[in-house]
Amino acid sequence: MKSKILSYIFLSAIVPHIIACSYTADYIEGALTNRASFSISAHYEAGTGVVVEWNANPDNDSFAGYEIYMTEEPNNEFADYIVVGACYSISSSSYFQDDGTLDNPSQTQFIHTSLPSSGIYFYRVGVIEWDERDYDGDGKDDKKPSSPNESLYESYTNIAEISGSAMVEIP
Amino acid sequence: MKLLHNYKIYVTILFCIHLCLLNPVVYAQNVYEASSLHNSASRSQIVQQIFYQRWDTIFSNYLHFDAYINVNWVFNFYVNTYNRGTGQKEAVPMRLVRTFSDVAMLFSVYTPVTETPDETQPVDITDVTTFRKPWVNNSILLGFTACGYHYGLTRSVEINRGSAGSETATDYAFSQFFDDIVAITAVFVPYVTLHAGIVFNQQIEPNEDGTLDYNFDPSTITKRYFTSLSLYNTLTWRSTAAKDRMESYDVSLNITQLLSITTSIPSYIPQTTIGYKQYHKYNDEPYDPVWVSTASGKSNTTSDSLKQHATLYTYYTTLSKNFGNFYIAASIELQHVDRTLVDKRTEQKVLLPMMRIWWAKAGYDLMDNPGWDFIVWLGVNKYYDPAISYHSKHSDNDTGGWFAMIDGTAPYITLTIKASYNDASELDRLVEAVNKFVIEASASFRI
Repeated sequence: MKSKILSYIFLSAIVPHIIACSYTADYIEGALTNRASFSISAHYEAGTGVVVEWNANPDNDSFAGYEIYMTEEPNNEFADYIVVGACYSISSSSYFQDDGTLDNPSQTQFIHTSLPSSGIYFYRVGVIEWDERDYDGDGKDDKKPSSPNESLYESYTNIAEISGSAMVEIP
Repeated sequence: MKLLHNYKIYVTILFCIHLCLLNPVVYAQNVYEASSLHNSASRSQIVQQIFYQRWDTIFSNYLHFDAYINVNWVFNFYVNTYNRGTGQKEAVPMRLVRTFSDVAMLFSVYTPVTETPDETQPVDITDVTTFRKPWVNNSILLGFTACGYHYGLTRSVEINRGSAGSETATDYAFSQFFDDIVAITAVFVPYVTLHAGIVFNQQIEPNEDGTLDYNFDPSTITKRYFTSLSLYNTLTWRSTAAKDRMESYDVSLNITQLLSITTSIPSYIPQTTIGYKQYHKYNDEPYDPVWVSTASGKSNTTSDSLKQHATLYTYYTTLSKNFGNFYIAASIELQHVDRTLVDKRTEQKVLLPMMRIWWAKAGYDLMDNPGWDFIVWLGVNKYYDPAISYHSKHSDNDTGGWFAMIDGTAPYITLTIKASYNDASELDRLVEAVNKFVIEASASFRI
């Protein structure tokens, strides 16, 4: 009985610290605000383009694809980002590339060839997930549609995770 | 329509209070270089304040378990930041994020057998009076707490996903601060309440790309030790010690509670607490707005051995009273400092006024059931700190502020949403929040 009480007290002392630490609160806020959560690399290769590489671990059950973003103006780290790569044709920008391999969760590379004029640009990678909703009309929410298409992708996806920025100088 | 009409009235009242309390200020924001967030002693005070607030809630509601989370955003911090694209520094708008989480448990280790056990009342989960009852005198309770506070600046990034819409992401910017408490609590009802714990202060630099690698590196963690002893819930001593010195202590006396031990208190007497605090507030650090004793020979690179310290002494009294569903409370805090303070910008002596803080608040509970509250609060205040003019366009060092809050309580959950502008409690935690709107949301689950 005594050892049971002691183990109970010991667990009670340990469990709260695992649940309630400063990291936990920050993690929740980070999830609410799409905090950059993984790093990527990007570099320019003459004759090839900008090679963006990442190593993410998406949730396969709801994974919709990767998207690649680039700052919309040169030489400004704090500029807004535009999408330059996705598995569907979701942008009319001249820098955008429709790349079907980006719907593969094990994909780790994108080569950006539709490049802007020279300057310093910043790239990011987004992990896109399907919204949880009733896609097949059976009254139950689904993690992803059974037959994804561009229209559904445009309407029912969101950024689940986003990378930090990687700087590239395009000559 | 009636709701909309009421809403307009509340907004109008708030706006009027806002205009009345503000000094004529310029709304342009200052740009920050150093931040008092680097002051781990001050941060330790803040995380302890919340720790004690949670335990006040636990004791006053006879809880055995309390899990609490709080998210606080301060907008429009303009910070001089290096732009890797331009190669130059520029003022970049950032958001200060403060998050707090807490889990506390309280167990009855020993409960004396009472001669007249009250087991006749059936338990009704919607009525807290049937399942939350005061602890029996001479009971022994043991509690454990873990809580943590994260502070840091984040920068918003707009992401245009083409025809899939736009979203916002955030990056960590500048140092991130993680303060954690592990504490044990022992109670001998109603005579003694004891808290003892350790505060772990950790500072982590984010990566250049805006991400952060969490790492638990003992060599970078500073520790502080705190204790609190309360006798008869009347006389309370709280102290914090760093490795080599006592950093602060606070002694308070609940007058109403003291009188109630020996006599019955008339219902018109408010709950009255008086107290005394002392705290090593000014330490010749780069983030301090003043030098201690003299400016001569000092700079922001002064070595630790040459730094001087000034102690701030404060004396406070707080009154609170409820009239049915209507709650009011007010407090004043007086101050003096033991050393001369010199403004870093002008090198002129800083004269601290006697009044440091006053605040008053009023709330109305729209529900009238035990354990169920929906209280609308409004509060006003005045706050003095020598850093006010340093971090804003104020010509002097005091400022008026306000807060509005809705506070909902059900038997097992609570939810609070608060908006404030120059609220004294916010400025006391972080004076750089002057002239900025603060939004805070918190929730708790309790048993």
